[in-house]
Amino acid sequence: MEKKRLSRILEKTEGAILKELAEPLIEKYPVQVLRKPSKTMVMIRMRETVAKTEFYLGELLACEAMVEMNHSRGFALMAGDDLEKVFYGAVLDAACNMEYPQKEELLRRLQALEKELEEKEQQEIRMHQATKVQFETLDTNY
Amino acid sequence: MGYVAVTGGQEAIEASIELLKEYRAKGCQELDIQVVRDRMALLIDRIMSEAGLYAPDYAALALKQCEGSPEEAVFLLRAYRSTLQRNYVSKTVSGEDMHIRRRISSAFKDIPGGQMLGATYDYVHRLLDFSLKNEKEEELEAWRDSFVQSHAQNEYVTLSDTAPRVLDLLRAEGLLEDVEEDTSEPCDVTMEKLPLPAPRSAILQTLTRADTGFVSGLAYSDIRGFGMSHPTIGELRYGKLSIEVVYPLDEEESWYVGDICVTEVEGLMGERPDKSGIGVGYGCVFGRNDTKAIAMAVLDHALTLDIDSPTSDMEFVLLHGDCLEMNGFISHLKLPHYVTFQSKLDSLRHRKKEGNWK
Repeated sequence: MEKKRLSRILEKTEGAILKELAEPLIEKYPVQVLRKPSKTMVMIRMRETVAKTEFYLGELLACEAMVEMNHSRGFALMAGDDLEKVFYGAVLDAACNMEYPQKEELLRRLQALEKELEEKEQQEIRMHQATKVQFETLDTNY
Repeated sequence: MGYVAVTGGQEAIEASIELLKEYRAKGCQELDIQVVRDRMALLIDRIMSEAGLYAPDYAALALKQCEGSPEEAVFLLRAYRSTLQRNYVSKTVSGEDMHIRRRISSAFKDIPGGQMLGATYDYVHRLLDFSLKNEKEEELEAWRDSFVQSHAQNEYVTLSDTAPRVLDLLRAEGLLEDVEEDTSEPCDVTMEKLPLPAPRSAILQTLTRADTGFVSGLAYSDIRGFGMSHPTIGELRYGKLSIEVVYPLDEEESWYVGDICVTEVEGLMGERPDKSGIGVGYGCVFGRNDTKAIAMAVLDHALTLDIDSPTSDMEFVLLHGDCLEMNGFISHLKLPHYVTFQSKLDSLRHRKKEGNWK
C-alpha cells in the first residue's frame, strides 16, 4: 500500500483501533523503538498565486515515532500530540514494510477503515453542497 | 533612554498569581478543554493563526489558562512552540488542492464548480437567541443526528470537493497584471530578523501571523481612502489542505501528516497607473477567518504600491502587527518606570526653575 494512502488511514483512524491492530504484532515480533514517540512541528510551506511565491504559512503541531519490528522499520508522523497512537502507527507501518503470514488480513482491515473514512468524507461534502448557491441579478439599475 | 531595574514585591507577585487562579475559578461549572475547542472554534482559529501554530487542543488549553484572553493565549502558544523542535518542512501545498467547504466570488455570479456558502454568519440576523440560554445537550444531539440523517446518501454518487480557481479564467484571458514569477527560497521570519525591504515570502508570513484586528483595521483604512485599494473578491475559499512530508524511509514516497483548515482569498484590487491589467492581492490564514484573509489580500497588494500611504509603508505595516510584540510592548508600560520618569520630572523642574518654560 502506498505510504500516502496508509498514513491517511492511520491518521484519521482512532488510536484505540490502531492499538487493536498493532498489539497482536507487538506480542508476536520483537519491537525496538528507534525514535521515541515525541512531539515535533512541521513547518507548512505554501505557494501563493500572484507571483507563485513560496512562503511559510505556520507550523503544525505533530508527533512522530520510528520503530524496528522483525528487522523491518516503521515510521509515523501525525498531527496532534497522541504519542500512543503515533507509536502504534509506526508499528503498523513496519508491519506493512515486512512480509509475514497475516499481512493480507491487516491490509484488508486497513482498506475497510479507508472505506469508512471515505463515506464520512462524502457525508461531510453532501452537507456542504446543500449550501451551493445560484445568485440571480435583477433587471434593476441602481 | 536607559532603564533601571527594580527589585522586591516577590510576595505580592506570588499572591497576585494566586489571585489570578481565583479569578479563573469563578462559578461552579467545569470548563472542559474539548468544549472550548469544539464550541469556540472561530476563537481557536484566530489564536492559532496569530500564534502561527496549528494546534487546536493547545489553543483551547491556553484560552482556559488565561480566562479567554486572545493576547495571553497567543503568548502561551508562542512560548510553548519555542520549546519544540521543528523536524519537518512540509511539501509545498497550494490552495488549488483544497478540499473546499466554502467558496464564494463577489466578482462573478457563475464560477466553474459553483459558489458554495458553507457555514457563514454573512446572512444571519444579529439578534440574541435567548433560547440558547436553556439549550439542552440532548436536544442538540438529537438535532445533529437528524441533520446528518437528512444528508445521508440516497444513491452512491462520489462527490468532488475540489475546484479550479476563479481567477484562472482572467489569467487565461491575460486580464490580470503581469507579475514576475518568484522562485526564491522562502524567508522564515521565525528564524531570522525581518529584512527590510522584505521579500514577498516574508511579507506573506508576517501578515498571516499578524493580529486580526490590526490587519483588518489597516485594510479598512486603505479602502476608505488612506490607500488606493478598491477590492472585489475574485474568490474566497475555505477548506482543508492535506499536509504531507517526504517519507523518511523512502524519499520517493509521501507521508500524510494531517489536515489543516485555511481561508484563502484572491482579491482583485484594480489597475495601477503604470501597468496594465488588474492587480491581485493574496491572503491565506489558518482557520475560518474571512475578514483576516481579505484584509491580508488588501495589504499584500497595498505593499506593492509606490505611494505615500501608511498601508504602503512596509516598515509600518510589517513591524507593528504582531500580536505578541504589540501587546508585549504596550503591556511593558505597566511595569515600574520610576527612575526614568523621575528623571523626566527632574529635567522639567530644572527648566521651570531656570525660567526656560513655555
